[in-house]
Amino acid sequence: MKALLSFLFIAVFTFLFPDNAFCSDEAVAETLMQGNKLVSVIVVLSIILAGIVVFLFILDQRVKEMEK
Amino acid sequence: MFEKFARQFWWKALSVVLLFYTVIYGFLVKIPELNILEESIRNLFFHVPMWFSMMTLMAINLYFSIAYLSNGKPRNDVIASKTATVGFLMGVLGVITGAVWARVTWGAWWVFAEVKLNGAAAALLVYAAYFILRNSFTDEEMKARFSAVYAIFAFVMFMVLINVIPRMTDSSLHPGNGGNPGFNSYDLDSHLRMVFYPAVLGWIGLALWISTIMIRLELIFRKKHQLD
Repeated sequence: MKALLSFLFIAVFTFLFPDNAFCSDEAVAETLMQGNKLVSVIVVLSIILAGIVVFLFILDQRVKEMEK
Repeated sequence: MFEKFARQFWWKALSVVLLFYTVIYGFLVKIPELNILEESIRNLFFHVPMWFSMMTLMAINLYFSIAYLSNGKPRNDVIASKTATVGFLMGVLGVITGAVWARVTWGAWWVFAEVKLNGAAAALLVYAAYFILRNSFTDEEMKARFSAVYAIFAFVMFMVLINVIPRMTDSSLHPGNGGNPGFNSYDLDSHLRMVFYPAVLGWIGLALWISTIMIRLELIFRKKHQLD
């Protein structure tokens, strides 16, 4: 659920800021991080991070129950 | 105090927020125009905080190793060993992110003439020896005592290899080492700092979170099997 929310957040974010807005100038746009590639990097990293966070959160809760 | 901190929620939530900020805004923030480095400068938000996380966790490892030697409480050894484990993991991630960065900017995954890279590899080997030493003992008290003494030596070596020797030589390619200007001289409008500092706090927080879960699990295991 949290991963899905994170993904939706990114989707809304990318919708609000179209491709060109990500790049501050043309010199930057010509390099690796441009347009959809940049969005993909952010989305993929966010999903990985969300996965790690959800995993740690569940584990944390389980440990808390075990400690009782 | 540790138990209370480990159960608190606020710092974990803060770390998560800072990490999402790093991952999202770190790729959107305006960066200075730098030759060779170009867009790869964004790796600053990942590579350097990994090493800061390792330093923080190894400092905690040192503190609890000394605490174990002074009071002999097994709990201190558990905290020391688990923080070293996660610290080592962060160091490995630091090497991997560094290798990717080196490939882009220096043209090779590993530059053998680079004193800081060799220092990082040696530091990881020093801590690898810490785990080998721990596993070589069957007696719990001997294991804890010897590894606590070794941890003091390991931390000193770690600092010397990472922070002292690279600054004393002129063969380092790293910014801020070997006579090279540091990143602060490039980041004149402080755009990088706006992400870098939160990134450092976020990664350290994540590493601490993983450590506290591992420590709590180990303490539950020891309590259940009456090992203390």
